[in-house]
Amino acid sequence: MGPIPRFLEDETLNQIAQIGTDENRSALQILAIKIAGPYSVSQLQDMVHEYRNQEKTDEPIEGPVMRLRAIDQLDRRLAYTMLLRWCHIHKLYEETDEYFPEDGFFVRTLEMGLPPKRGKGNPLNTARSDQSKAMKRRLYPNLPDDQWLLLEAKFKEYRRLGGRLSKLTKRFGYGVLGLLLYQQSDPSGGKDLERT
Amino acid sequence: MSLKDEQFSAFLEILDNSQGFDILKPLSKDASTVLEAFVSGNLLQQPPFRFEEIPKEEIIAIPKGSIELRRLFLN
Repeated sequence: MGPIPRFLEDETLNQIAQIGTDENRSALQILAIKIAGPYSVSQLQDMVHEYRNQEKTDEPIEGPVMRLRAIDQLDRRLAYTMLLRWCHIHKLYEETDEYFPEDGFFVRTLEMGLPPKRGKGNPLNTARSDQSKAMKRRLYPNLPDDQWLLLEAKFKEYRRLGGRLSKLTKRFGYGVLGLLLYQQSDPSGGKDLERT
Repeated sequence: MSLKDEQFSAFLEILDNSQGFDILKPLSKDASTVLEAFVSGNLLQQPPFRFEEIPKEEIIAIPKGSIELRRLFLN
């Protein structure tokens, strides 16, 4: 990868710097510069090529040249796998978005037969939790009670990532998911979005 | 890397104000057909998109925000 082309005004980069932390400032700036740029299109091309060629049998890998080539190929596979994963999490979120109102205000709780919560805690978080539980009940109606806890972490991640991807696509359109940065070799990594 | 929800929303706002109208929304619209084929599993049944057949070196040389970049998604 060559030098990063400057595209955004310094003022914009400064604005990004102000919302970021020491840890993520550079990654956000690079993402802002590269999103929907030629490098992201080239990366989408790699992912589509790799997806189309996925049925090919791997050759035996011997020596550093072939090994480097294999690593590059695995990077591309990881990238398209991650893109597909994000797309499906996004779809899942959108398909169940009745449980995740944008304003975070939950008017359907009584309709769903959930008892109103009492006690301490952020009511928004409580309501989110109720919504999440309701979604799980709908998706897994026959799951024994003792297995609900095992799903908690998974659903928390889906809800968080899906919510961010949904905000992204509602603002810029669905195709923007293919214009982020996914490849492992990219230090800015769109994958960082997943960890945010 | 950690980013709170409000920081993420602020980042989207900056992206939108700086390049949303001219760059992100148009190219996202152009690329959505590829994404839909990709996620629906129909990609293998479709003929290659134009951007698949352009040498990588040529793609990388196209300026961000240019009409040439958008044309890559036209079939």
